[in-house]
Formats: sequence, structure tokens, C-alpha cells
Amino acid sequence: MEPQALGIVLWGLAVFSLLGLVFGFALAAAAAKFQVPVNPLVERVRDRLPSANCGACGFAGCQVYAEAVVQQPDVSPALCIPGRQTVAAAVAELTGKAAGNVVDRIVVLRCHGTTAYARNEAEYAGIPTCAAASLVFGGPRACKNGCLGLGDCVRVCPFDALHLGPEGIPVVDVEACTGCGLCVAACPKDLFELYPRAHRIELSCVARDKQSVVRAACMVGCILCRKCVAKCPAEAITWDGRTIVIDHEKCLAYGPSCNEVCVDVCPSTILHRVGQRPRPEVAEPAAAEV
Amino acid sequence: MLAPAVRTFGRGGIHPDPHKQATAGRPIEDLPAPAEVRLPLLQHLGDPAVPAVKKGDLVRRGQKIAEAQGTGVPLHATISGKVKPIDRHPHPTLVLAQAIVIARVADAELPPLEFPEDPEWRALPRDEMLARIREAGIVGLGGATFPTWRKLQLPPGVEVDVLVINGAECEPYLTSDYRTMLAEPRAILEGAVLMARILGVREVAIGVESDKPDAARVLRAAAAALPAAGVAVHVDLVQTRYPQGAERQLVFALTGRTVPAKALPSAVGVVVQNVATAAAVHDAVRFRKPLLDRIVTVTGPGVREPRNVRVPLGTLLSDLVNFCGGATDDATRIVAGGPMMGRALPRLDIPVTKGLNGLVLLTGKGPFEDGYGPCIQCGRCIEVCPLGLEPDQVSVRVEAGKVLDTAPYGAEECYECGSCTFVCPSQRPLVQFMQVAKASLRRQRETRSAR
Repeated sequence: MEPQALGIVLWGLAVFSLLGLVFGFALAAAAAKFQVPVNPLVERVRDRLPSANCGACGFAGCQVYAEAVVQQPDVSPALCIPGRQTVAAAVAELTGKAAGNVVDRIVVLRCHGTTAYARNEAEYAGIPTCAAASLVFGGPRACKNGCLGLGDCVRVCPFDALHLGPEGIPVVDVEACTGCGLCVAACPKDLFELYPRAHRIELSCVARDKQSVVRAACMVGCILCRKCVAKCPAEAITWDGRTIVIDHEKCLAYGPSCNEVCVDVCPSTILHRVGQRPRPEVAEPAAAEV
Repeated sequence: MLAPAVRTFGRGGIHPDPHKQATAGRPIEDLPAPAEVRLPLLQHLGDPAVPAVKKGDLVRRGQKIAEAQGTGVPLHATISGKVKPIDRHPHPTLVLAQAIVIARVADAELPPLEFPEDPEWRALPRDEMLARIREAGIVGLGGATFPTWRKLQLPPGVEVDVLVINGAECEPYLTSDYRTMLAEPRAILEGAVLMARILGVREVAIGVESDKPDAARVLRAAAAALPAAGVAVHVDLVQTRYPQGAERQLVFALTGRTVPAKALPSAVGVVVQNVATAAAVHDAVRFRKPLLDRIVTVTGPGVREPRNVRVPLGTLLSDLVNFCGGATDDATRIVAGGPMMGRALPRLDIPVTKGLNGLVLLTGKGPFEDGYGPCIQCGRCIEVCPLGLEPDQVSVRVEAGKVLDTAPYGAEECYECGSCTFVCPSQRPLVQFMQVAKASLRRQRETRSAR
């Protein structure tokens, strides 16, 4: 190598090392001067949260909730719904607050209008989302309250707990569902309801119309006959003047001695046991007196 | 000699094929009273009416059957008959809504109410005129169905100096306003002058699209024959260009004033009323006659005998189509309103409401049935948008699930004229994306204010 060339290399090394040192010290000084104090506790709380940023706690993501729960005394440590009791206990311990009980909920799709059971009254062509289809005369289904099956809920689920099943309606993966409730807000038909994770019966319909209208649209629609209300020995099923309401706490407290008589009297088989699907093909013909 | 420049709006706009020839030459025909009418309690923007009749009551045509509530208007029986149970029935925009159903009883047994002329009608005080307009259940008949009495009652501090009467009728296929202008020019003019007196304005500008010169001529002749009332009326031709009949576009064409975004025309001193509304106002003030019928154009390649029909409100669309010879065998789509802004309906057991100006049955494949392409960023939707909005930006954000990020691109200002969808070379449902964005933004605002 030429001695001249070696000189250029050494000079270069010296100049850039010096520059590096100068900028390094400048950055270090700036970092010290403009440092934003961070509560290390926020970081630790943040690390215990599930990072789904689902917003079920009511805050705009896990970081914001972590800041709030550490800095504001009145924010409960038990707001993280996907994290359930474990996360609540951990956050409570870190923040020195009382955890209390986290309600463990899952979501239930209150419609069983599969392609086999629910009739379409029109063809829909356009933007393939429920939000768009529901703006065109409530969507192509004859039932105007029912599931459109275009999967807006599937797209918002951060836990991969919803999938469009082969029958044209979404299916909830009860293991994966955390009860965050994003699908509740995404459904233009308001078909998702948060149930306690432990529950015995599900009413998979939100029908609000009389029998002739419901039957013309769907084989498994609730016809509001209210036989379940009359038969429930626990008075856990009530009629609020508009729709049928189930009090799952009362239902669970009464225990299995009723043999789910409500399910057996349902002429539409739409009030059903958990995991058991409505089966209109085995149902008696609908009562005529309603 | 130079032809005078035809008035028009500033930016955007399209020239769709008018398709008006099937009904433009047909005078208005009366639909015989149908066997049943279904009258939804909400056919206007505002609070629904409250039923004043019950099951089994006998009512006469013209009788009030539901009382106005809050910001709403009352509702009247449009045929004489017997009231059936009040229940939820299909509604053209609300899908399902409470409606009063009347089964017809022959006129001989239950004659319709008579509405004699009030000899003092030209000299009524302002409040009395407003009260009659409200009692008559009149709403904007151009399609928006905003209660007319509210539009004529300006909030304190707002002053207007021009009343614009909208006879543009820029929607393809529709001829109901055109035939109304030819049939009732006198009523339109008298109604316009009454409204001008209520508003305290001295100038009435009537805008008619240049493809209807005969309507403009008839209106001018009627204007010349009006008794002097201290109100200057002029009829102006405006360019045949869609959406010339949109409120903002017509105000600009006739007065040169630009209505600011998210503001009403009254912000620039203008109130706009449709020609059919003006005629209804005349009937209400002069005869105390409520709004019982409206003119509907029934047309399109899917209708055997296209017609302009005067139809009692509440008549089922199926009765209306039957009157027009029925649907052709190859009819595939039902559109309530015109093809640009109308709504697709799945069936015909839906009543005619106050805002329905046309019923178009179409054949063949509809738009989007073969799907649509991605946005190629050509910008044509921005060029044709009369408001200068960015439908392309809204559409890609809705597709990406970022609906709440669409507000800066004007989703909430869009009045859904559909020009963007008409020109999109990728055949994207751009106005539908706008509708989804609008609905989501509205929903978000409502949940926020509820908290």
C-alpha cells in the first residue's frame, strides 16, 4: 500500500472518531436535558397487559390504560377484560389497589339465521360488508333483524375468536373469546350480547315482530310466544314488554333441577342449551294461538 | 346575436342520459283509490306523528288521523275507509315502521271531506299561513321531506332576501315536477308568492333546466298574470347538467351565492322550495287542503306503460305498478326515486310516502354485480364532485377499516348525488362508501354524546 494512502485512511479515522465523540456527547447532553420523566411502574403495568389494544377497558389502548391506572387513584385495576382475573390481580398488586372481581364474559351471536334457515328476499351486490349491506333496505335477508353474514365482526376481532362458518353466519370460538366487546360495536344489527362465561341457555334471536312476519322470514326466529317465560321456575326469563330477557345469574343460581324446561317448550328451538344448536326440523309446528 | 349565457353551478357535474322521453309527454293521470293504504307515522324529517284514531274507526279522505308532535307534521287519511290495527309495516327508508292502515269503504257511504276556498286567503296573517301549512302536513316534496313550516320559520337573526323555487328536476327518468309545472303553473306561482310573504322576501327565482323550455314558458305566462303582490318573480333557465337541482348548485346558478359547507342556504339569504311543495302550500293556505296525494313518475324499461300518476299517499307500490300495466317479465330491479339518488327496494308491498317522486323499474344486470376494481387514483370522482370532495380517499379508508379517518375528505358533507360512482372507471361503489362513512361517523358522534 502506498504510504500516502495510509495517511488518508488514518486521517479519515481520526476525523470521524472525533466527530462521533462530539455528536455522542451532544446527544447525551440533550437526552439528559430534555428527559421526560417516566414512571417505571407504568412500564411494568404495561408489560402485564395483553397488548391487544382492544379498548374494552374504555381507554384508547393498553399504554393509555396503564398510565391511567397508575396515575389516577379512581381507575380500577380490574378493567382489562381479556386479561381476566390474572391480569387484574397482577395490576392490583403493582398499583397497590384492590382487584375485586373481573366479570368473565363471552360474546353470543343472537341469531341462527343460517342460509338453510333464513330466507333471502333480494340479491345484494355492492360493498361486501354488513355496514354497507344494512344501508340497502336493511340488507338482503328477509329478516330485518338478523345476521347478514358478511363478517364485519370477524374483521374487528383482535383475538381470532370469530370465523365465518360454512352456514353463512359467524361462529364464536368460546375458548378464544375474551369478551372484549369489539364485535358488539361492529355489528350494525346489534346481534352480539355479552353473556357471563358460565351460562346454561342461549336465546339466539332478537326478533321483535309477530309470528307471521318472523315465520315468513326464518325457520328459527323467536315468535315471542313467551312459553319460556311462563315455564321458568326460577323466574329468570322475563318479558319487558318488547323482548325476552334472561337473567343468567338467577338461572345459574337455581341449578339444574329444572332440566332446562324453557328449552323444551320453545316451539322454534331457538332457546337452546349451550353448545346445542337450534334444530327446527325436530320442532313441533308453531302454536297457532299466538 | 349572442345567446345569453345559461346559468349553472361552478364545479363538477355530469351529463347522464336523461331517459325522460317515456313519460315527458304524458299528462298526469289519477290513480283510482286503492283497496288499502298504509300511512307510516314518520314520512318526514322530525318527530313521528301520534295516532289520533284507533282500530275500527271510520275515517273520511282528508280527515286528520295522526297529530303532529314536536318538530313533525300531522297525517291525514288519503282514502275513506276503516282503520285496521296499527302495526309495523315495510317503509321505503326506515325498513319497518309504525303505520296506520286504512281499508277502503265506498265514497258513497263515506264521502271525502270537502275543502272550500277561504275568500280571505290572500290577506291572511303570517302565523295563520304557517299554521295552515303545518296542519296540512306539508313537507319538502323534492324528496328531502323536511317539514315546510319549519323551513319557512327562520331562526332569530337569520334573514333571507330570495326564495328559490326548484323546478330543475335533474334526475334522469323523472318527469313528475315537469308535468306539475305544466299542469299547475298558477298554483306553483301563488304558493311561491305566499311563501315569499311568509319569509318577507321580495324576490322569487324559479329555476328550470334548459331541457324544459315549455315549462319555463308556462310559468312565465302564469307569473305575468299574477296580481301584483310586491314580489318580483322571475323564471330562469339553468343548464341541463346533473346535479343542477341540488339545493347548493341551484342557489349558485340562480344567485351566484355559495352556501358554506355544513350550512343551510339561509346562511346566504336564500330558502329553496320544490315546485310541488309550492303548489301544496297554495292548496293548504287557500283551501285548507291537506297533503293527500303526490305525483309519482312510474317508468323505466321494466314498466309496461310508463306514466305520471297522481297517487294517494300510502298506496302500495304494487298497486301503482299494476296501474301502469304491470312490470315486464325481465324487470330485475326496483328503485324508489331516480336512478342517481334513489334507493333499491327488494319488493313492492311498500307504501308511497311524501318524499317519493319516482319509481323506476330496471332490467338487466345492476351495477357492481360483477364486483368492482381497486382505486386507480385517476381523480375523476374528484373532478365531477359538485362539492369538491374526495370520494376516492373515503373509499380506500372504508375498505381498510379506517372509517373514522374519512371525515377530512368530506364524507359528512356529501349529499349522495352519485356523480362519482357514475364516472368511476373502476366501477367502484363510491357513493355507497360515502354512505357507509357517513353512517359510521354519525353513529360514533351519537355514542359520544350519549356518554
